[in-house]
Order: sequence, then structure tokens, then C-alpha cells
Amino acid sequence: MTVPGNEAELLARVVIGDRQAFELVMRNHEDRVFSVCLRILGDRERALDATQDTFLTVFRKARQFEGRSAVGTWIYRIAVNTCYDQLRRMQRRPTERFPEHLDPSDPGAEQEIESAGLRPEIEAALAVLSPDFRNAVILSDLEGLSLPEVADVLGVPVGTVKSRLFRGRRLLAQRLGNQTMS
Amino acid sequence: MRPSNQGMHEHDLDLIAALADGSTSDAADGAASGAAGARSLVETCPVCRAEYEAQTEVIAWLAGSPTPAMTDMERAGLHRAVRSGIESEKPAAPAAPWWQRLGYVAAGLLVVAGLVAVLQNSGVLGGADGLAESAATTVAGEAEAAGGAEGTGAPTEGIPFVAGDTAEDFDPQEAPTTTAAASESLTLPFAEFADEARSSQTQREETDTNEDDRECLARAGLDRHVVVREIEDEKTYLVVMPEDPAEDPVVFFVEVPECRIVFEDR
Repeated sequence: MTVPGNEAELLARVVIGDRQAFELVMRNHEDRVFSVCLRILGDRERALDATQDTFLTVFRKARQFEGRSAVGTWIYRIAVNTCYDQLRRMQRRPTERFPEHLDPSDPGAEQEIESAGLRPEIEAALAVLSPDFRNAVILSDLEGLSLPEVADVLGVPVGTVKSRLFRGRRLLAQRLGNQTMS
Repeated sequence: MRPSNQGMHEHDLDLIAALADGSTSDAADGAASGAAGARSLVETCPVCRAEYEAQTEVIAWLAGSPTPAMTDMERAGLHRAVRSGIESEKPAAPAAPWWQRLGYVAAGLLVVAGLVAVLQNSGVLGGADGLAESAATTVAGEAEAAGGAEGTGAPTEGIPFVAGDTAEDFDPQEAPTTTAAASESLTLPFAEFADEARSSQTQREETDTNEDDRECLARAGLDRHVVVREIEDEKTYLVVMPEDPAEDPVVFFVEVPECRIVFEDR
């Protein structure tokens, strides 16, 4: 794993057109970017498209990286925004499938989720959360980002992340019929 | 019994959540508001304890979820696609200084004026209106030609050409898009409004987006966007931009009360 300082140097080399540096940056983060995109979009093909768009944006906008956060955090922020764009496009084109296929009432949903490499009961529970809560839970509890990192990725204060996490988990607990909640 | 927030404050909720996910820090927050404070809260308040247990159970349950991974084939495909995307990237040409661009515009105007004078003198042209009309047709034709194939998001007849775009640098992928129904009635200079909205981007935080607007934006698929201004014409349009200034400053025009996007400027 590359340390953050070196990553910033790598990105500086990307700005001057160093393709090898770009490939290193990409290899360091492609798994997590794909995982975040898959959890947000719920579809492997779309997640791969979003991952591809994310790294093309990273390449294009490398010079805009100001070093205020870690390179990884900056990349995940681009990934989340790319996924939001995809969701918006899907919403605008009703013929396209919206990730409400994650809805457990859809008979094909479970098979589709399993084939995407996700756990159906977790994805079905996450699907009932609003995007704000869901993304906070995905980034923190599933992807293991720290609170400041999640705040940076989502572009909100740490306090807002804490509150979204608390409320998101509480809704999940209710959804799961958690005994301590009943 | 389901725990309620009775007797708990927002601060307590944060503390309990932080204790559950291990993000409390005595050193940073002080014992009263850090881990020790949270633990004491959980010990003394049954509702807080129930919340804490529910939170830890959910965290543990989520932690059991496997991290989805790409197959080797998907990874190879991704690398290929990104590599080819980069190859096709054109290096951005540095923008010409303002005085140079002004010079180009002035030269262009002189050429057009000279041409009009010559044509008027030779009796070919009745007046300036005819030329303006013909120029407009040419621009529309160029836009259509540059738009290319159907389904690429390219502009269609009746959609204004973005100010500053030429047929050469026109990218169909990034073309302004609009709904077919609205395209017939687009008479406002949306591209200019979009430029204005971008230039006042720094003041965006001061703009209030009320509940009705938020609901309307959600219906239009524009969550995490804010209204930066309203335009009153025959109809009312909300000028909308991403909430997050780090996002691309795409400007959307949403017709209200229909809540539909009628124009998008990238």
C-alpha cells in the first residue's frame, strides 16, 4: 500500500503525463472504488462503468487535486459523485432499470444481488435507507473509512456524518427486527 | 419497548454512535464528552444502552459482509477501457489571453461588416436581416451536423447552441441536453444564465433552497443540488447547481411546478 505522501507525488507525476504513475494510483484504489460503486449502484456492469469514469476523471482532473485530503479520499469523492450522476441519468430515463431492483419484493432481486457478489439481506436492508444515510453507512461501516474521510468524501461536516450513521444504523436495526430495539 | 429519544440529546446520540463504532477519543474530546462520558451514559441510561446495543449489533452484522471484488477479466477490461479512454484524451489547449480573443472577435466583426457592405452595394442583399437569418441557419446546421447520431445526447433542432461553442470543439457527449417536450419553447438564453450562475458560484452557500424546491429537485432527480436563482418568464424556472462545489458545475434549469429539467448546461 502506498503511503499518502507518496500518492500525492504520484498524482503530481500524473499531471505531467506520467502514465505509469497513473496506473499505480489506479491499482491502489480500483478495488475500493469498484466496491463503493457496486454497493451504491447494485449492478456490476454499472459499477464497472462508474469505476472507469472515475479513473478517467482522476486522470483529467489530477491537476485540480490540492492536497487538502488524502488522494484516496479525493478519488472516492469522485467515485461517489460519478455514481450520483449515473443514478440521476437512470432516474431521468425511465426505460433504464433503477436500483430499486434491490427491493426484496422483486422476485429476481435476490439472484441478481448474489450474482453481483453482495449479500441480499444486507443490500435489501440498505435499499430502504435514503441515499444520504445509505452512503454514510456504506463508506463507514462497509468500506471502513474513518469519520473525517467519510465527511470529506460526502462533502459534509463530521457531525452530519455521525448523525447520518446513527440514524441509518437505527433504521437498519429496526429493519432487521433487532431484539434490543423491540 | 422501543427506545425513543426521550431524555436524550443530539450530543448523546453522537456519543453513543461514536462509542459503538470506536471513534470516541478521550484525548481529543475530554473525558466528559469522550469515551468515558459515553460509557457512563450507557451505564446509567437504559434507553441509551438499548441504542448502543442496537448500533453495535448492526455494525457487527455489516462487518460480516464480504467486500465485492472484480474478477480478473473485469479488471483487465477496466484497465483496457481506461487506457483507451486516456489515449483518446486530447491535451487541453491553453486558453488564449482575453486581448487576443477580443482581437479575433473584432476581426470577425470587421469581415462580416465588410461583407454586408459589399453585398448591399452590389444589390445582392436587401438588408442586414437576410444575412442574420442566413448566419443563424448556418450555425443551426453546424450544430446539427456536429450533433451526430441519434441517442448521443446531441442537440436537436430548436435547442440553443451553447455560447462560445463551435462546431469544432463541440462534444456530443457533453452537449446540453433537454427534454423533447420543452425544446420547442426554449426561448430564454439559458447558456448565458448558466454562465452567470457559475460566475456567482462562491455565493452559493448563502442561497436558501426551501422545502418545496427540495421536493421539486428530488422529483427531477436532482438530490444534492441547490437552487441558485429563479427566472420568471412566461414560466418559472429554477436554476440549479450541485450542492458540492467540488462537483462539475453543471447547471440545470427546472421548470416549476412541473419539476422537469428543460435544459442542462455543462
